[in-house]
Amino acid sequence: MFVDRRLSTTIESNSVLNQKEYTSDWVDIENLDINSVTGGDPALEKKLRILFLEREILKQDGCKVPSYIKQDQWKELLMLSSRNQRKNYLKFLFGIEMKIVNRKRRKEENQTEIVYEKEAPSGDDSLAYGFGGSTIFMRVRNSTIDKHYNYNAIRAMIFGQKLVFDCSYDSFMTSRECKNCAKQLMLVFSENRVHPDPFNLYLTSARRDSPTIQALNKFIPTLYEDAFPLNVSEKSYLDLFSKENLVYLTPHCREELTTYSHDDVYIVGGIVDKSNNEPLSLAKAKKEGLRMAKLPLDRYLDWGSGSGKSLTLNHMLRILLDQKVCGDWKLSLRHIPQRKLIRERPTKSKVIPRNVSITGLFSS
Amino acid sequence: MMAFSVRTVIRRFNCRILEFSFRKITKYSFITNKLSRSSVFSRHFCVPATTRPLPSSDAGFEHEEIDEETIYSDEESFSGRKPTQLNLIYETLVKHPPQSEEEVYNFREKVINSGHVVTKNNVDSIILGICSALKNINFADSYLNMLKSKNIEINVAAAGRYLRVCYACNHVRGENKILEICSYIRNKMPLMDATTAENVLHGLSLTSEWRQGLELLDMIKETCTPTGSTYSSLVIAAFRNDDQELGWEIMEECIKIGKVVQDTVYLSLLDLAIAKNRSGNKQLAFVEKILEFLKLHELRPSTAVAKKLKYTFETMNWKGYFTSISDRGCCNICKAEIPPILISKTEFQELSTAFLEKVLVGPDVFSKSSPEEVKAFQDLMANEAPFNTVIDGLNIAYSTGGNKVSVQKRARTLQAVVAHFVDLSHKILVLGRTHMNSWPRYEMEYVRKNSQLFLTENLSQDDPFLLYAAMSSGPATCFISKDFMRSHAHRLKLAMPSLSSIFKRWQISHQIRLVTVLPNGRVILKYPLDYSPNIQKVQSNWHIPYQSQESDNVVKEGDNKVPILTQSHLDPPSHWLCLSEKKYEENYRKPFGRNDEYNRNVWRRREEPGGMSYNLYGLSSWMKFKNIVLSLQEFPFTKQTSSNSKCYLEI
Repeated sequence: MFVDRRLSTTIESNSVLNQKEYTSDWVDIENLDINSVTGGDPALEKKLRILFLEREILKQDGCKVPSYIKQDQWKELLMLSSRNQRKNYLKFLFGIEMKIVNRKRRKEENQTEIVYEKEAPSGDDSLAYGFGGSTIFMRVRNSTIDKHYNYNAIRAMIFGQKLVFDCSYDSFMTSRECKNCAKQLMLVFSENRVHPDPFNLYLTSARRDSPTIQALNKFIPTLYEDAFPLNVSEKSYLDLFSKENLVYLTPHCREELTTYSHDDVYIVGGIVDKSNNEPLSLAKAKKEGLRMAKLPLDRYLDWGSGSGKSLTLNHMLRILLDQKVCGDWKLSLRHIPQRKLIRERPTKSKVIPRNVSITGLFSS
Repeated sequence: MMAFSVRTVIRRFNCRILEFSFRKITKYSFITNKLSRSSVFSRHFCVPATTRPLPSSDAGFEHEEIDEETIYSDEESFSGRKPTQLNLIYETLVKHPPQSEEEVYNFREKVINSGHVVTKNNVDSIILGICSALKNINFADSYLNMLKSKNIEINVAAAGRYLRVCYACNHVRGENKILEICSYIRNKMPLMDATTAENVLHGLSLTSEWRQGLELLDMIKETCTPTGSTYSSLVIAAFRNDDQELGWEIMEECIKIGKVVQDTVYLSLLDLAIAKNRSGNKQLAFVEKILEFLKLHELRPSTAVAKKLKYTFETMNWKGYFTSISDRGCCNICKAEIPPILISKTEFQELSTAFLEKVLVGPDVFSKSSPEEVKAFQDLMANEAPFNTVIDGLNIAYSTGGNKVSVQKRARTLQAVVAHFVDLSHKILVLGRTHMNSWPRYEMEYVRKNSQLFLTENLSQDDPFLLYAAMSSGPATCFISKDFMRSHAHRLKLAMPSLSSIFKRWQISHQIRLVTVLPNGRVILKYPLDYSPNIQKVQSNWHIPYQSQESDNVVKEGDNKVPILTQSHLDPPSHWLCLSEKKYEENYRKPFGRNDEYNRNVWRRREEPGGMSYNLYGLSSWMKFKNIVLSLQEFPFTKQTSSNSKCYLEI
């Protein structure tokens, strides 16, 4: 009486594991290489097939479900143990899918506008270059800018102060946190090389097969090329630098970093601790007998209630960069998101410059 | 003359507790909202916290700082952010549900055409889902008939939703239809996902085929843990079909994996017992088994269950009284004495060794301490233990509140507390951190002379040391701190779940809390419970603490109930049910007024380890401030007489 097109092919419970028996309208399931997702484990394969059904039911139930799930995303789904986790993950993927769809649509709309503009005769000639768009100035392309920034970073690798990001905390992070950490490390690299006086960055204890570094390698495919201006090392910072110079920056200690030292090598723990509240970096530094310090956050800022005092890695870098150049905590702590602070009324006379340049400092 | 009375001080103290609990509510309501967003239906239709009562304010106690609006601000209203299609379905079903087949069909079309959230693919499941939230079986039936006659295919999700409507309405009469739909789903999906399996299980639990649910339960377990509701439906089915053994087994399993056995289970079990009682077959053993189950798992039934229990016992010619328990652990109705919390020697041993390994040392010693420090502390304990009392020095010192209190005042507070226990000739251990060395010399010198002072590094945590010291000094040692020790209890629970209940029992019976130190140096303390706050059978009378409707806010959220603690777990339960075969007079005299819980705690009397001593300081000073003449009619000075005689104050 009732015929459901999607599930019309009957699946015998014993022959469930037979791949050919299962057909579905989902394109991604048809194209999926099941063996590579499950690693040939029959129990996992059964679970995977149940997850196929689960997605179908969620879709019928009106939940947000993506129409295409990639192979590594299936792998991730298979790792999640509870239904709610999977549901949330699917919702997250759905959000990404919709973003892409919308972006495409907007692009198409823009393109039609551009065509329309080109066809229309321009009323104002002053903006267009003469000689059919030719100019005496060479066009500065993205790759040129990129090379310039890399030059900046390489210069720092020769002369700059060293700064270490300790990537040894992967076992304490969830896979999501590892990805966030990788993204922050990417931002660390890019924000560092743009700065007038960058750090000589080191990623230590960065095993190539660790989830964070793998994710970072995905963001930066040229990470392991010889010419790439970043030190990635599997060694610990203890093997790379002399112990006296090392200072671990950890929020859990009681010593405040009041004066910035240009001779020390500061270490920032590469952790994203959204769920974990253990003082991991404190324990590590204590165990290794290193000096410890924390940023003087309470001394200079009025913190609002609610959001914590945890900072992202790139915020940490920005603060240290400015601290190195100007030594003014008030100025360098402006990188902390304003939502975390008790807001003051904006006063027009106190406009803080957005970029700090060395030349400005020496002239005053 | 004093500026404020003891009562004000205590009120302030409790105010802080309540404020804290309110913050917790805000947190919970946020979490529950987040949870509820996971499902389209529960998001809008399981009326969450709007109807739930506020925590009861205690006698004459105002809380001005608490803004109700902020508590419930992140709740969604129906007219607010809800998509119009769902709004349309909900309002139509509530106000004027379509009657004839054609009307139902038109309604479906109208919903599909009025937006893009509800589509042809998911409209049936969404409409039926709303039916189950509204418990409207009639409309669900007519909707299904419409789909059949219009020859619209029913997808698996919608069929599952229909089964949930049947379960929500306890629609036992529709057995044939339920079985038909279940077999329809099974034919389509021999291998089911967890949600479908749960829906089918709920449906089957109403029928004679309920045993298939066991198989489905295994199927669910392959991809996730079954919900409490799933277990509950299976338990009800087992008992309804007279397979008690299986029912108990499933209930045990449910508790074991940390899910809540729903109230409906207890209510329907009691219903069964009542029906049998009526037919002359007394079910005392069965009902007592339910109570034993609750007792074993340290569960506290809800008000509805407590009322039902009372009614059930009354059908067996017992008597039930809602009562309270006096501070000495004496029932105000039957005067029976509730036994104290029991922790066996082996349990205690297990707890103290596990605590050292799992909490103090943990996976990394350096995160809380260092190996040298732990070693030094163990040496100290080996040489000096046992202590009578262990004091959390910093907690006591900082309980004076505010950031602006001088160190001098903090040190004096600590000194006063130490002096209090010195007067009782206790051997005292005070824990602190090394920065206390710079505190005023006079006060610290007193502490050092009269107690064993152990200072941990500034970067170490002192609480684990405190708990460990109290545990390793033996079961008679109490510790003094206001901290609820939640993080340490949690860490212990993660490492060894079996010890969590023992730790809780130990904490309830061994933690002394400082209420305040009066300017004249008198110390007011809140002593631990003398009696067990769990279900007890004393002299053939049952005493059952239950969650009262006003004071514990139980948020109903889908399958689970989330209890929100307004009191800390260290406080005694305020509502009890006394079940007895005998009849008692209900007009008992309340010692000190029943609601004046806080004052009772100030005036409480306690046997101290070093001999008999009574904490009457607080009482007498309060009397002085209030210019009250005290005439002590009768005051029991031994534990033995206390059960027979009470202490009355004539004011």
